[in-house]
Amino acid sequence: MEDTARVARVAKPGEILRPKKKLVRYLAAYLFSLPYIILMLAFGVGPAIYALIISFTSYKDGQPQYFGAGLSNYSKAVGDFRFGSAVGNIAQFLIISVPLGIAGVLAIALLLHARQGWYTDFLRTLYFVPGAVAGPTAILLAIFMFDPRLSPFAPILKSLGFQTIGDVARIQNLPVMITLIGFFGGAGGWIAIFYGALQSVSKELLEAALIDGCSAFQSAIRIKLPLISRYIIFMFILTFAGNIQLFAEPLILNNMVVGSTVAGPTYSPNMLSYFLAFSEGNFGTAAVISLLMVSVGLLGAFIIIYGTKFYQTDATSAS
Amino acid sequence: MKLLTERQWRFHFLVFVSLCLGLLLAACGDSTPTAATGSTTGSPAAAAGDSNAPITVWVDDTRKEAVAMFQAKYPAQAAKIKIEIVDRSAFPGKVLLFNNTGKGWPDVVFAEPNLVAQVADPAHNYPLDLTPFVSADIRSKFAGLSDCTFDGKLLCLRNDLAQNVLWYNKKLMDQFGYTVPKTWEDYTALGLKVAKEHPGYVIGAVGDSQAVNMYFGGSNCPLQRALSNSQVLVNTADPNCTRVATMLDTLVAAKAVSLVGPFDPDFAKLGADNKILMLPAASWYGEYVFKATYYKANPTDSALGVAEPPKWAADSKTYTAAQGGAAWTVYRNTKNPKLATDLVLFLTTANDYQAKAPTFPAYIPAADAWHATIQNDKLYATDPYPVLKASAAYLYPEWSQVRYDVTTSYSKIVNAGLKDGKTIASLMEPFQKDLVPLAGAQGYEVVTKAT
Repeated sequence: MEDTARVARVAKPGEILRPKKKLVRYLAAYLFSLPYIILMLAFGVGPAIYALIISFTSYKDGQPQYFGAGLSNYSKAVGDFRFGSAVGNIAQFLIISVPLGIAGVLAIALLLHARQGWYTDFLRTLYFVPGAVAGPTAILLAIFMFDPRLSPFAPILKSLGFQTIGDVARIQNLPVMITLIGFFGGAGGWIAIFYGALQSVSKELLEAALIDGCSAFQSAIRIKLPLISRYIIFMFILTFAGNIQLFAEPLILNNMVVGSTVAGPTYSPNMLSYFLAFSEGNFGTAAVISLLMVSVGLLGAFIIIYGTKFYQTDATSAS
Repeated sequence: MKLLTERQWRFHFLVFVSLCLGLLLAACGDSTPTAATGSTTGSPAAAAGDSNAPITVWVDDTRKEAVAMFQAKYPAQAAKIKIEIVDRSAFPGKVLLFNNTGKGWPDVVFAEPNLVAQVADPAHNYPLDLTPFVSADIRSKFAGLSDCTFDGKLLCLRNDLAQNVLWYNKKLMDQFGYTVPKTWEDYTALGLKVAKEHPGYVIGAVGDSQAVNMYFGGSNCPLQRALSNSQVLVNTADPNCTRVATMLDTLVAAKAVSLVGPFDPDFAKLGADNKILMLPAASWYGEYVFKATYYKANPTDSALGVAEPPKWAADSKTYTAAQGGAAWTVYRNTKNPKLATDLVLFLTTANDYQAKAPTFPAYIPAADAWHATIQNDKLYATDPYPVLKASAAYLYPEWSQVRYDVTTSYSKIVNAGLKDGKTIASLMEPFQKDLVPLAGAQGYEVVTKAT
């Protein structure tokens, strides 16, 4: 039904011009997306294809033998003695970081939306500020926040039993530490997105609910939340795909204490891949792990496109 | 509704796939000349050399000045040398990339011998055997040169040494009436005595990864004993290892050693409070740690004493490892081996640079000239040079330079376990289990017994 409506609408004004207009329309679309497509091919698809080639490559005396490895790199990657612990670590981190991140962002966005005004706008901006500090810098700042000697949160840290930075810098604390860094760095952006989504909830609907005796809490949980559920799924998939790529945080936090390591150089799959490539010279196995990460990201993308109605509804409302 | 019709999908999909294919072809097109260049670089023609060819030198900011000295002394060669400041920890990884692309190798690199070990394996295949370029006489005057020798080849020349010694506070030792221990057994006994008589004073710091170099390296414990470039002996159950674990557990239990590392602010505070009675540590600690940190707040003249590293009573000789100390290595296919090796020899042996170098020179005649830089330093109770020089001779080849990282593993297993209240003795087995696959992944066959 929608299809016929669309065809009819396109056909009506464009009866004569249609063939030419179609070409122009395509051309414009390609021109608009060209910068993105070029960069994506150069830095996204290109390296992925290269990784695919490398994943079948063996190295003899430092020289690549293309397609000389068959599937051996794949079995080596999965059979590597660090692969299991890296996957276990990342699973632990995802289980903690994804639900906490979503729940935290949702709670703040719903609270902000429940009481609007200049103060809310100010807070919304404030939440955004930490995101302006670029990744590795934010991690370095976080090290100070986690040091009971220097941190403004020292009383909290000390009450939790952390007396020195050495007490904090333990492998078992890493998932929570990285979650906190990620939350304060990224929450502002997601709050803005959720807030925008909440703004699109019909005012009439909320007023009707108010008249029917719905409390602010009920309106948030029963009305707003279901209406923005697509965005929650969107965040879930993007956070999942992003967090599974964990690399910089553990790498930098490893050096929290001079002369010691917190988790070693192969904490997450991406770190393992990096270590395999540049410390052990095993590019093939490293490429396999990279491809594994790409496939997880692709899977997320497919779920977004086909499993949710995210793009469909947007396209409908735009046309 | 659908975003696009079936035909539109097909059209866009074909455009996308053709773009990807184009990229794929471009990538493969690139690879053909790469392989070709790679094989030609191995030809003997390159080794013949061209005395006018330029060379690229990778250094850190501190050693840039040393290369500049060579340029000033030999102006005719100056223009041929290109200096690049590089993070040398990335050196092995970059060599692999250069091997892939078939170009880009630096000619001379300033790096620690453990990095040289990494680039000496078949995959990196980077360093030049310097044996023909360095006379036997010069070689014999180097200390610590075994760290540059791999399978009988001299793959680097030592720049400086960081031999471990025993630092102590002379004034405190005199005040308490203690004598400086000559053996690790005496060291342990004194630790227990200090803990009883003067609680709060420490004789060491065991909380960071350097403890493995200091204590286990000081006992000839086989953690990184390369039997060849492809075979290594690792056995944490060796008596040379277990005696260290027992000693440290005793000292930890008595609180005679600090559970943090020497660079921890808590340990620095012990230094400022003058609670460090002894600290086994590297030769550069006097200048860069005691003077710069521990004694900075309350500098006391003639406070710092230095003694040779203790010996295990049962051993026939003293063993010591090092915390740092770097070297210069040359690319095997450098276009100008003459200039590259001349430069390296100047940097390591000429007094121009080494006599005023920041750390202990590995070339002993240069070290004798370097002596003047610390001779009259008021920090020391006595001239530290004779002890530093004698200790350099205790560096031993069995504590080999290997491609896997023992310190990180020690930190992950032993330092972390110690924080959880475990004994070091109980952590020796997990430590072994961590090390063996790491060494295996770097292409070593691991044995637990010397044959």
